[in-house]
Amino acid sequence: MGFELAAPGMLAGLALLALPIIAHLTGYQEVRRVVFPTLRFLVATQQKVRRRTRLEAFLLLLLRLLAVLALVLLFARPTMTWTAKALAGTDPARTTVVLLDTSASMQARLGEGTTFDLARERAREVLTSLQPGTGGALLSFSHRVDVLGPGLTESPDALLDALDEVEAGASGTDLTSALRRARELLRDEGVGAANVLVLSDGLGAPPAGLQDWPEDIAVHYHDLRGAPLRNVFPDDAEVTAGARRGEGLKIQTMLRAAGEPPDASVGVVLDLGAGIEVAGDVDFAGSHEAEHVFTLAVPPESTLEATLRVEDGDDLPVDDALAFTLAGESDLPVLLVSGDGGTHPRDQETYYLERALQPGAGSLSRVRPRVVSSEELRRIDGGRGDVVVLANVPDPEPLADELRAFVERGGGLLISLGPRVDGERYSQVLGDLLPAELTEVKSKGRGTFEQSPVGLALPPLEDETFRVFRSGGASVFSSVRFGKVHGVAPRLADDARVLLRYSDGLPALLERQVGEGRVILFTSSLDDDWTDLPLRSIFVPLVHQLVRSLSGTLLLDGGAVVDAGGQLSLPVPSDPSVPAWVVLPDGTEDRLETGAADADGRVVWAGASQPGHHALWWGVATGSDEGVVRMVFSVRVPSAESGSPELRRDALLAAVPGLVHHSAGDEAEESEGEAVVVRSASMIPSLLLMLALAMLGEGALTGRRT
Amino acid sequence: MDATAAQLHPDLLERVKGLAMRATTLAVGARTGAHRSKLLGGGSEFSEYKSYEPGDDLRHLDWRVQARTDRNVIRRYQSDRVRTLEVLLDRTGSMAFGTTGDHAPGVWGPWPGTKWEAASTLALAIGFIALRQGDRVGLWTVEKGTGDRALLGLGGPKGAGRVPPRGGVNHLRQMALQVGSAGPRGEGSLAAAATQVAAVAKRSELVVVSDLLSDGVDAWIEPLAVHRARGREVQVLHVIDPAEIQFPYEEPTLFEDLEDGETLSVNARELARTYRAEYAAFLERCRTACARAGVRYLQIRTDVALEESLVPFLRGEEVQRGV
Repeated sequence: MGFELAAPGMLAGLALLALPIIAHLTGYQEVRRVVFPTLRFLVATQQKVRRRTRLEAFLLLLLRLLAVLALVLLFARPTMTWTAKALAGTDPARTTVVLLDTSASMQARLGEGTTFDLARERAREVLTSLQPGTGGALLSFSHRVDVLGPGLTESPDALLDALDEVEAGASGTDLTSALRRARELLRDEGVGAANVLVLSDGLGAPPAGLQDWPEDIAVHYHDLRGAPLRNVFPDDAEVTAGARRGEGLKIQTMLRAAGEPPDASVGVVLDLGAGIEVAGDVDFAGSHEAEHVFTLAVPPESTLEATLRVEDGDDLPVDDALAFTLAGESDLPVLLVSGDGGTHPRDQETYYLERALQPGAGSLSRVRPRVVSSEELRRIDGGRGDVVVLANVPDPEPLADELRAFVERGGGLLISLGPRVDGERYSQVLGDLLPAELTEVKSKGRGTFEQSPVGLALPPLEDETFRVFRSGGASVFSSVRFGKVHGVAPRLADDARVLLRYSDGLPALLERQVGEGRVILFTSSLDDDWTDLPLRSIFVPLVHQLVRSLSGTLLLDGGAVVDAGGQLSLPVPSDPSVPAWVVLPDGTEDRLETGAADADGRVVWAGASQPGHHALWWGVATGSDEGVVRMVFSVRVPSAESGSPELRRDALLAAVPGLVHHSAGDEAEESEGEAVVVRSASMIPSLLLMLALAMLGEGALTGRRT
Repeated sequence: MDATAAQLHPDLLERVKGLAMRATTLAVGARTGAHRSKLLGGGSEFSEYKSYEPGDDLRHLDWRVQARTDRNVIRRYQSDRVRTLEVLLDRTGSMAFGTTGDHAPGVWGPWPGTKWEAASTLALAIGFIALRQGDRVGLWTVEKGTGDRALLGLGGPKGAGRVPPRGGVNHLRQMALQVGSAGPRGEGSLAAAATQVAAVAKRSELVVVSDLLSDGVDAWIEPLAVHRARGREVQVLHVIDPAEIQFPYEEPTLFEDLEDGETLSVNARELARTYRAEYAAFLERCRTACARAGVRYLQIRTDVALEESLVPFLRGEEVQRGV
């Protein structure tokens, strides 16, 4: 710490300090003489107060000295300065760009704080030491590069403010982009000669493509850690289902160790949520890799957000947890209401549908269809997550109230038509459920599908219901034949849309949101009366998709894992007015630009910054904040940040010509330079305060004494 | 004493005359207000007539003579026993202190300029009243030398500043001469003087007029207590200047002791509160000590008309004013 005076000549005024001393020594003279009879009482009194009055007199002297001192120093305009050994490469008179590493590995413990804390302190010292008129800039870099503050500036205050705001994240290290950005910044500002100080931890990939680095821009790479990380982290979790239904799950986990492998076994915990944890111990046995297998005898009924956690208290806590998804095996009950019976099973309206949904014993399908005739059905239980299929039911009136209540509770209703359906009657009874009013039956060709030219149009593959056909089967839609279909009124109900059309343009599948549930209307039959659809290869996946869509269990890409800082292509609703958002682990929401979806109905999401479980939500309707989870995925710390591989010194030197490497752990290398002023502060405010307080105290004491 | 009086300087005589006149006026006024004085003797045998003077007890007015001669005549009686009253008047330096001299004159005249002026006037007034009722009155002044004989264990009637007890109104002149012969000065011991008086005048009643500053309370109360224990009346008139109580000084001041000349330089404001407490405690010690010894104790403030102070004294009341 130093002390500088702008006008040292003013210190001559310190001679004024003699004044209060003289006043103290010569003052306090009696102003009059009084003969008095009771002097003995005064003597006794004075003995009692002498100690106090002497103390007050001494305090008065001190306060007066302080006031004079403050006054003289004020005229001398002093400044306090703090100096420190600067980082090597610091030149207060040369334009300096500080590259501050904010990657995940910078969160590693170092002393009382973290590597990032040390880097921030070093950056503050460097920026503060710059002489007035010297340019400085501060860039943070991880998987991306950010210019902090106003860019290249001669005023370090804005940079220091920005420095206080920045924190280390969970993403990787892109040193190449950081150096390029620094070079561009200097070039854009017309700066030729400069210093670039990289404050990092010796982890990450070596820069590439910088062989043409200009000679007059000196790069000093500081490995502030100077030692390998001691870090154990979960690297992978592979979930294997049993060969048969009910055989449970096997979760094979892979753990890695950076630096020295741990001597003792390491605790590992599989957290399945809801307070369910399975613990185990992993012995590395001198290796850098170790496996541990968790077995779940009973697979979860629903999809679980699982977390594999290492409990070893290593240097880098941020990568100690790995989030992943465990797919559930919950059953999906579907009630098939058949409106057309018969003596032979194949005469049943739901014959094909039932077998498509559940081929039979031993099947892995989780759909559980139950067939009931429309005459027998009097009551419909359930709600959200349940599905009812109304197949060619002649008169829905006895069921209308039950159906309406079921849908409004969140249930899914699939209505398929057929020869027994009276469109006018349906429109009357179920008008508030149908996506559109039914009109007359339209015959195609001669009324039989064998001779009909009408098929299905190409399905919208961007829609989640038909996404399954992107890998094949889309062309089959056009070969399906329909002999008869029900016409619908051109005007759709509110919240209704057409999912699929016939090749002649008439609506084939329509969807409508009603209350909490949804209704899908198929304007032909689901047996082979009017169409050969049940006989085609697309029938099974189509009905499964329809049922899962209605039940809300149509997960898209469950289990996806992306590195922090990476990008993920997320599906969004085909209707841009329907919102979609990602819920991050800390509960914050990141709205997606649904209008910016590509042809596949996806947007690129680059908000992966927090390790942990994420959920993609779709709104249930236009502008609605109500939503359903459409996808779960997890974000993890890039494994390169966990300590391996280390950034080798020779690789750095080879990648950037002229680069100077400094390591905190290498005593042979000089990592500290000359002492420079790292902080300065004017003392005038403090002196003014001191003067005011001294004068206030002096006034109070003087008033008390006189 | 006549020879001594013949050698007196005319100025002194004038001063004594004025002093005696003030004391007489004070005594008459006080008797008028008091109606009956405990100092007046209780004899029953007729002695002589005298002309009525204001302050005389109207019970002794002879109405028959008044009817015959149209003159107011007071019947005087011979006391059964002639009492002797010794007045011990403090003339030490501290009695020269006073702050009331510049007060505007009251109906009774100018204020006493010092404690001595008030004390001497009171002493002579008391003496006059006693002489007028036929008692014998002696006077002792406490000054340097008073009581030395007592300290030396010599006893005897001689002592510095003493007027032996005599009767007759004319004796007041001798007392006034003694009082006016010198002003207050130097040191003196009230305790020693009281000891000597108690030893010499064992059968006398005693009146002490002093500021009680010359010795510690325990020192002067002891001989008075001994005297009181003999069955003799002892009364203490504590003369106080208001400045001693109020300590009206604020600026840095050099205080000089009136008796020994010792000086003390202090910031008066700093000491004022503590001093007042100390002095109040001193007054309380005086009052308590007198009460324990059975001695009548009265505070005589110089900023209170002496007449007002004397009336309760004559009534036998205990008075504490202004403290």
